[in-house]
Amino acid sequence: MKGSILFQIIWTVVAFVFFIGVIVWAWSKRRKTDFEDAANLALDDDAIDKKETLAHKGTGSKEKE
Amino acid sequence: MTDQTMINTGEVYDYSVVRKFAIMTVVLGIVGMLVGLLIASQLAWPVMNFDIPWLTFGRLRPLHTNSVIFGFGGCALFATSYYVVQRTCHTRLFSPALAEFTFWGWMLIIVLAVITLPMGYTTSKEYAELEWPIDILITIVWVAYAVVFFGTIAKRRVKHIYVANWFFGAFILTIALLHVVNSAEIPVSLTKSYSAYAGVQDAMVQWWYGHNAVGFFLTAGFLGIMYYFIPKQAGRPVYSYRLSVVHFWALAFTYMWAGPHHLHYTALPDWTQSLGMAFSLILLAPSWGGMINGIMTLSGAWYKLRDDPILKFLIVSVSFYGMSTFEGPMMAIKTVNALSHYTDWTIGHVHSGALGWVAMVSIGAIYALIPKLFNTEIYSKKLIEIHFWIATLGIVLYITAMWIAGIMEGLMWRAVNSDGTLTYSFVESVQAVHPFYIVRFGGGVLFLSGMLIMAYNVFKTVAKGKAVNDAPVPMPAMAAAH
Repeated sequence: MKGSILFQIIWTVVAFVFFIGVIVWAWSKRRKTDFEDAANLALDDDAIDKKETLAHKGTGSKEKE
Repeated sequence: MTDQTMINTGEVYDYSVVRKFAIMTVVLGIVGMLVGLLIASQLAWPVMNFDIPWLTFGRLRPLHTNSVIFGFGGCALFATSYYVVQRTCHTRLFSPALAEFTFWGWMLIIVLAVITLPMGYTTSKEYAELEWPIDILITIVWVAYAVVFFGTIAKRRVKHIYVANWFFGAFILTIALLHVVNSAEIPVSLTKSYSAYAGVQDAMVQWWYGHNAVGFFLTAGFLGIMYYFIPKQAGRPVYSYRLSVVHFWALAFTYMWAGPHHLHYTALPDWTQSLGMAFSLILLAPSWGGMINGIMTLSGAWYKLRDDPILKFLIVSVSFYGMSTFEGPMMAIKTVNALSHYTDWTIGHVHSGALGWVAMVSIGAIYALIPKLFNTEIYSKKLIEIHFWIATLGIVLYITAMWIAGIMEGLMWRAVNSDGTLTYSFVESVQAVHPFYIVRFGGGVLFLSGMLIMAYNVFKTVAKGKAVNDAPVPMPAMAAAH
């Protein structure tokens, strides 16, 4: 068997196993809270945006959260 | 979350470079689409090139593609990635000066494209037409971009790297790789070079580049926008973070192999064509996984679609993403490709992705960004609503016209008489598609009109706002809570 073919076979199998590993890892119970934290990264600075706008209007104390 | 938990880090976000790129997104969108409209008119009415060499279709078509993809799309990606990486990492950009350099460098590249392409300087590689000195400039700017982006990730204050940043990161890395490999060329003068590859290898390298430019520039980058701006606009976290992780890796593993579907029934070895077709079909899974993830983020909050036109832009863009990523794998099937290739169906497919997905998601994100960057509300929500409907109607006209034209061309070209001769001459197919070229032009007029409305709305918003240069970087909520 040519070396390059062997390399291709190994690489395909490694890539496939890696991908299955990603799925198992992503669905493992231990990841749940970490993923929740990560998902909230897009939202946890909302208050700052609101405060910027409110502070600008001089009504910073009326924030509704 | 109360005010007390918001502890500032003493840093401020760098919005200056985000603002520049955001404004230029609108400007270059109009420029690129105007050029597109001119060449669409030339296909319907050839006199529209005015017999001026610089205005001929062959020279302006690459200017159109370069300015909408790298000008409009590129600016949208620079703006959003710089904004998102700072906000989700709770830190200022790694090097604001270097970020500023990427802006001016990118603008210089666009100016050079606007000058050299109409003059006829081209490498003749699709989506990589710019000649070698500009290629070197692109490489330098791109490396600076990577340094700023990954530098910012490295100095983040949070443990996790938000999924949008994974997509932006993959986009930056892959484009660097694609550009350097595909642009390998031998200069013979300042304005002329020849590809380092020959024959079918050259074609394969070109479409490995071309298809991954679709996969990582026009898909991964804009998925980064989707994963930040849809949750943000809907006010709820992404539907499934797990799915987003699998979406990312599936896309990264699959896209790289789909390029050969651009070379069906050519000198490319048959097995390579079949490999490209198989991977293109597999691509449907991650693409639809991502689409479902984006749309389902609204689950339980569908009512928000009714009165938030920005959300309309974002959700409809993801729907177009789903539609064109279904159409794409279908067209990659060799027997379907035998009908669709070289016809206007391809042009329709590209524009359902480019206008429906890429442009709509960018427009939505820019509408969401501008008020934040100028500390104000949008000038007119009503005008965003109008823009949305005009743009949607324009896209529908464009792609349906091209579907009909393309399938008709495909059928006419393959039709044979019982004695084996061709039923139609080529010019008969040109005549047959003429009405649809006019409809396509109409679709383009509508889409560009929408962009002009956007420019007016953005201008009025900027005029009444004030540039924000003191947005404080808050400590991460989680760190504050612990």
